[in-house]
Amino acid sequence: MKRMIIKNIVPAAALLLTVGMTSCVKDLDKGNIDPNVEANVNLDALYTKCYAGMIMEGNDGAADFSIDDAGKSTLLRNIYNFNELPTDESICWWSDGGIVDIGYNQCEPGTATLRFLYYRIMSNITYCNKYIKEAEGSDATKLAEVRFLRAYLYYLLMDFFADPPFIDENTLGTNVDPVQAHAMNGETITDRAEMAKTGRKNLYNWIMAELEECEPNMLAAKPETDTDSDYGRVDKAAVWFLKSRLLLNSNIYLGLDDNAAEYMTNLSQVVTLSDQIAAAGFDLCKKTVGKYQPYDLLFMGDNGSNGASVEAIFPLMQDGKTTQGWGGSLFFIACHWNAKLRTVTDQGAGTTGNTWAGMRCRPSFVNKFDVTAKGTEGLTAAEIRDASNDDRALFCGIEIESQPDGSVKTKKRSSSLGNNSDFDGGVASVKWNNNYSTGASPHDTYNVDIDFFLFRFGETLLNKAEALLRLGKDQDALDVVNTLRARANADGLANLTLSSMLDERAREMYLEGQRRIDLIRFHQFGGQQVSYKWEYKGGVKDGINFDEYRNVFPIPTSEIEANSNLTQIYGY
Amino acid sequence: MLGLFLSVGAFAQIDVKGHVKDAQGEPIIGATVRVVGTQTATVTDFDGNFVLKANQGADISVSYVGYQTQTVKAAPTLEITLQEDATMLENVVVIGYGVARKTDLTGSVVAMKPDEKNHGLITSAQEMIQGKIAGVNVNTASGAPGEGAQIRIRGGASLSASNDPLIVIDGLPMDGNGTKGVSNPLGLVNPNDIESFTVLKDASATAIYGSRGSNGVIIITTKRGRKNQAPTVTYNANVSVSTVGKKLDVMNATTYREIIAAKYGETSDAYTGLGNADTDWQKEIYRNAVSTDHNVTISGGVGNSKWSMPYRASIGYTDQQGTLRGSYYNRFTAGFTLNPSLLDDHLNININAKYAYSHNTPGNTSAIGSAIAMDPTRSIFDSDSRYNNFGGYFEWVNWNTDYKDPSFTYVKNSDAPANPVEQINQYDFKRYNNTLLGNFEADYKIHGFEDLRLHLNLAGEYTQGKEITNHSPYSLSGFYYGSEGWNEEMKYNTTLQAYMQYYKDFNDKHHFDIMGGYEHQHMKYWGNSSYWGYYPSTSQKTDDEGNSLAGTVYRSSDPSNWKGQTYLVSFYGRANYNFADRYLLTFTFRADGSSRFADGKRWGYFPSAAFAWRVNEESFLKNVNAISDLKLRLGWGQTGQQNTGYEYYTPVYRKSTNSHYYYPIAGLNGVMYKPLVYNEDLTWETTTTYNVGIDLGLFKNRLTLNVDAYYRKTKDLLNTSTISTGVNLDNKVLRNEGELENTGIEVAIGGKPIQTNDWLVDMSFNIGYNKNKITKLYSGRDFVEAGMQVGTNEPITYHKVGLAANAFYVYQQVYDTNGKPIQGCYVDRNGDGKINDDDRYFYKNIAAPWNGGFALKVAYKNWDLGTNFRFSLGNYVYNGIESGKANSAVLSNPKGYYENSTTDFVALGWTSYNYSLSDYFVQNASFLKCDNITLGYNFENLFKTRNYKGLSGRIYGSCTNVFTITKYKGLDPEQTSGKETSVYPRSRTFLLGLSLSF
Repeated sequence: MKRMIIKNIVPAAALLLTVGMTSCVKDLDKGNIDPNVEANVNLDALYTKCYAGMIMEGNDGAADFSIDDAGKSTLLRNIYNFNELPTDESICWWSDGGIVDIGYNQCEPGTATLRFLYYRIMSNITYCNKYIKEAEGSDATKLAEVRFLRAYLYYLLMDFFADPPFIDENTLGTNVDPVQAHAMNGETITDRAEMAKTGRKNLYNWIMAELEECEPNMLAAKPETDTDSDYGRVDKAAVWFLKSRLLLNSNIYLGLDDNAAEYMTNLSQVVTLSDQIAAAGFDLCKKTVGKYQPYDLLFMGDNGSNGASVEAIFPLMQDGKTTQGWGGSLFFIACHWNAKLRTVTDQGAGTTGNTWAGMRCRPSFVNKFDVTAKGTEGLTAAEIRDASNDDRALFCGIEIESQPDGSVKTKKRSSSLGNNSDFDGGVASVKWNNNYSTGASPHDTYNVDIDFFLFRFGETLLNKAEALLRLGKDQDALDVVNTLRARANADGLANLTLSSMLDERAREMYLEGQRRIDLIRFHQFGGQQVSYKWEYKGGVKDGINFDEYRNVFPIPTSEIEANSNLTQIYGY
Repeated sequence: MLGLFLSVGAFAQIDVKGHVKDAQGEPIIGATVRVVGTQTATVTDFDGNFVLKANQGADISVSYVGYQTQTVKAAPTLEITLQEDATMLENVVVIGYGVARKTDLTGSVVAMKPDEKNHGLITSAQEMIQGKIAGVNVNTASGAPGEGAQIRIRGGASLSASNDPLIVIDGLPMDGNGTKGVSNPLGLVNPNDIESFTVLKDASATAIYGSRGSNGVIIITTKRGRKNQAPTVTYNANVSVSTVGKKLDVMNATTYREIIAAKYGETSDAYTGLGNADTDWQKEIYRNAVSTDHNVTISGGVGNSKWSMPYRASIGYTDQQGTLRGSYYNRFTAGFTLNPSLLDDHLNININAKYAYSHNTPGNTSAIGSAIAMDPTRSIFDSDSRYNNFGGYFEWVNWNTDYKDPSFTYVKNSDAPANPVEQINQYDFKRYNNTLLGNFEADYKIHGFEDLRLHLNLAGEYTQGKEITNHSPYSLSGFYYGSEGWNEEMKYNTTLQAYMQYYKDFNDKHHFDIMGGYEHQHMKYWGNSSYWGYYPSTSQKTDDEGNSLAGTVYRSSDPSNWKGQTYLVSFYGRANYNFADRYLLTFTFRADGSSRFADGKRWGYFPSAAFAWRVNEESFLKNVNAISDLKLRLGWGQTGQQNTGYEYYTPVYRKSTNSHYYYPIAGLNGVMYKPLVYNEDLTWETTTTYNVGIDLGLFKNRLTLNVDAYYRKTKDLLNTSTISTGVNLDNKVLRNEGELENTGIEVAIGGKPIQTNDWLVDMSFNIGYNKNKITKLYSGRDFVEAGMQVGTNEPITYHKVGLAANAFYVYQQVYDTNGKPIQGCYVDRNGDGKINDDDRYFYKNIAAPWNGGFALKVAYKNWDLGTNFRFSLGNYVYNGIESGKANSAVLSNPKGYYENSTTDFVALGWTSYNYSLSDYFVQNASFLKCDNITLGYNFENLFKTRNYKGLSGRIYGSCTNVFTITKYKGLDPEQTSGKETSVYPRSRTFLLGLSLSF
């Protein structure tokens, strides 16, 4: 017995064990069985991802990057927070996340909301870089589109931060801390003010070069509606549009004098590019549907199909059923509304997500309409529109609460911001709502169907008019502006000055995420010499000037901590 | 043979007839009865009786495993009662892959047998070791019934990787992941079935568990039957009443009205809008909860001298009410153990199976936060028709026609607090869990070559957990569409362990043994969920084609499916060398391969060495009677951490799975691929531990002292931290962040100062000090975010070089002359005239450097009184309740509703949420808790008759969570996360219990 065990059984068992163990060691290769992930790339799905990042939180509603509140992570919401809140157009009273500080031109590197802006743009650029890396040699049109999206995101970075880190498809996976834009071409600069200038210039040139390279491969320029298969894709018109926006702002981005010859050349290119866009078929929406005026149609639930999209050079898509999100178009209703406001057609918001009650317009801006801020008090949206002689005055001066017995309780809204401690003071805007012009049901009771026109033909006309005006062609400029006004059923202006040009931009584009750079271009934002002050500018009730360095924002503390190559933006 | 001896000295001998029983009067079968100094011996029969011949007056010794040996003088009839050997457990200790004599241990190992007398309410195993072991810190996360606990041994060695110790139940290493309905692996073991805990603290003991040994190991063995024991039935039961320990002192309606009047004036909208009721919302959601617990066990053994088969079977039922209305926890457990011993004790088999079924209705814990926010001037119900759609419960509502449904024209204002009573009463959410755990263990001593043993253990666990939701369209939880559905998770965890062990005694002095083995473990998880609702029949909504949607299914998310698995393959070995029972050496080694890491990074190697010197065996101490035990221990070892929280580590894309989040561009279906962050350099975290220990026992171990000092250094710390954007696919990545060290000392003192026939006083005290320090960050940075966020997602804790992990990085609050913190007023610490990030400073951290506990037990005759205390010194908690309520501008919220607060918070006078980074909210949360006081009475031989041994047992009463002494201003200083939020409060419980054995 004993001998048998040692001679036969033990070696046999050992052999069996060895064979068994070898196969078991191979089990270690069987890691991933999750049906929800995939090891291999699907280029189309990655391409979709690059577009989705322009308006959505991320896959399945989760944020794309490590941040705590998916709803605050969307690009649009942050463009709004940082381009509208610091200006005369909008103010918010929510005390969390430093939103008030942003509205008081007191944003600091540690301001919590800044991280949402910064990481969203960087995250989107990273996905674009990933696509560009993976898609080499594949569909040239899609590749050009993603390069365009990346160029647009860099435009935002350049505009917001002047000198952000520069990352491209080659940075990905290197584990080397990226350098700032001021050093992207190998420069060594030590002066912080100089860094910001050089960084911006470098990015400006890089974006322009990218746009040049993308353009030939892009889809032909043409307006579409949401049933067209290429609706939502960027085409050549988007390239022309972004170029013209860069050129128009080149006095700021390149540090040019307003009368510099180079700026004049750039402005004449703005005119050419604007005409190219018009020639491709883009136009102002001039349709009326029932009680809805053309300007209304641009911001409604069915704006992808009601005719407004003729104006959409780059529409971002939303659908209450298939393309949901907290921080896309819904945000523009949720933040501006409470449940007691009514549209010009005496409708609610068309979504139950109308209760965030945060943002109101500052009186200085509303005063640019005939009605004046004070004049809105107690008036319905329809009455305000009448009093303004302008379809674009979409404000509501009264709160209406229906009672169970069918009666209504009304409350006059105050146009004064008071202590900016609640939604009650300030002019409420009802520009966005989720109703359908046809009266049909929106797809969801909470999520909205409103597409967001990120590039809109209305701005093209404004850019053209402003370029003409700056080039000294005042009458041509006036004609363009009056075309725009006529669409809004507003009387034409008699003459046009830089000041009235700036006001016209406000009336047409308010709350659409453009105001900050417009004020900067007209030298009406940061700087101690600025003549224009609005309520709570600089955080003081009647407004005071703030330093010019605040024309751009700082890089968030967390990124400065993480990347040893970074120098905080000049002034911060 | 026996007959030969009997005949030799027959003339002086008498017949000794005897009966051997245990303290409960049970006959002991198979006890060895020996005439001292002779070879005369016998064993007791099935009734505990024996007969042998002995000289009149000779010493007769009776011994049985697990009992103290007794010696009596020979007499014609003897009745011998054996006392259980309390130190038995301490003599043989279960360690990783084997057992060891306690005297032979070289590492820092604490074995503990649950104290069956001195305890309060115990529904889960973790409560049995709470406060009992130096360096082991057990905190329950909240007071919810069936809640899990956070266990930390020596403070934890990791940052963002798991700091949980490895739990091994009857040889099966648990995976540490909760499943729906069970929050931790200890939840499924009936505490009454637990025989012992062994806690392995230092690396020389845990290195045998390699990649899972860094945070210590808790080995649990369950009770077994005894060889040849007559069947015994025991019954344990208790009934208890729990009350909420402490509530937040929010304002009542009168005070609230006064405050609103004072702030806004009596003519203001804010004042006139107040309601007329006086509702104490906290009172409405809490209750005195009654719970019961029953356990029945039968154990015994059958067999003869050739073979034996002890058995034990138990069933238990726990019915626990939570103090939050609507919360219940029910658990049914069943277990059986068979331990056949065959082939002349050469083959020992252990078959174990445990089953647990739990049914948990957690209750709507959102009501806890609502109850401290809801306006006290509102009534629970309101007959106004606008509340019809909420079941008549009062809510803050808005007129809304967007449902396109004439019967639903009011929706809740989603920002406003909800009616807590509605949240409790109209909440239908249940969890079920079925768990089956079993193992088959065989230990074979090779015939004719008994020095070699083969050991095989096959163990497995299968768990299925399911959450079921069924909310009515008239409830807030399922408003309008209703919400029905489930979320189901399954997992199995199987392991195969095989090892060989070889013992060799070369001569009297040299003992040698070596063990080598192999382990394969596979853990697989999968699950699915599906939720849906319906458009009510009154809906007038239509789809794009104009068809009515009334009665059709409404889905807010798509059904989902997921799967994951982990494999772990290991080789391990241990060698012990023992010279003259004085010098002991242990070496262990383990190689672990984990499928969690990519090929090339997946194997880790973990060695250890330890030395012990049993000083009391030396000649110069051997005769010192006072010293019964003195041992010095030295240990060194390396352990690892592979629980990264990921099941695999290869680069992948996450696909969209929810069709509500598509972006259908360019004619594509809208599915997105999100490339996930991936760190190709990721490797093991390794902890090296040095341990020095001394074990001292005096006066026959009536006074014991154990001291351990250690130094642990962890390198390649796994941590998820912020990185520069653009180099990877996220702004945070799991990486090997840096190094930290833990230095500490642990002292445990136990003593029985009084031990007489009638009196017993038993005292124990333990304390652990741990100093944690981050020593290096590989990125060259000075600090990285540690995870806690306050206010609006503002990071507040950081890991900073030179400081303890999880240090608070805050602004220094300025106080007015009355000691009141001034809103937004911080100290300009760098004196640059600006308050910005540069003025923040590091202040305290979340971990307590000092932890410990003490227990006292006094017994007089049949009575015993015991109590357990636990303390934590120097830990700080972020008072999130206070910072969340600091803004008193929202008492009358501009969004159209009211929010309650406390008078203290209102007195702060703050009007913003923006100052949550103030050090004011970081508050000292040192505490002393009296965990329980227990009084018991023991009885035996009740109803004894000639044929019946009688009934024995115990009746006792206890109070759990008796009191807490703390300076902390919040509700409860015991916060596992370092931040207090509105969680289920821990309750105070009064319990009456009964144990019977018959």
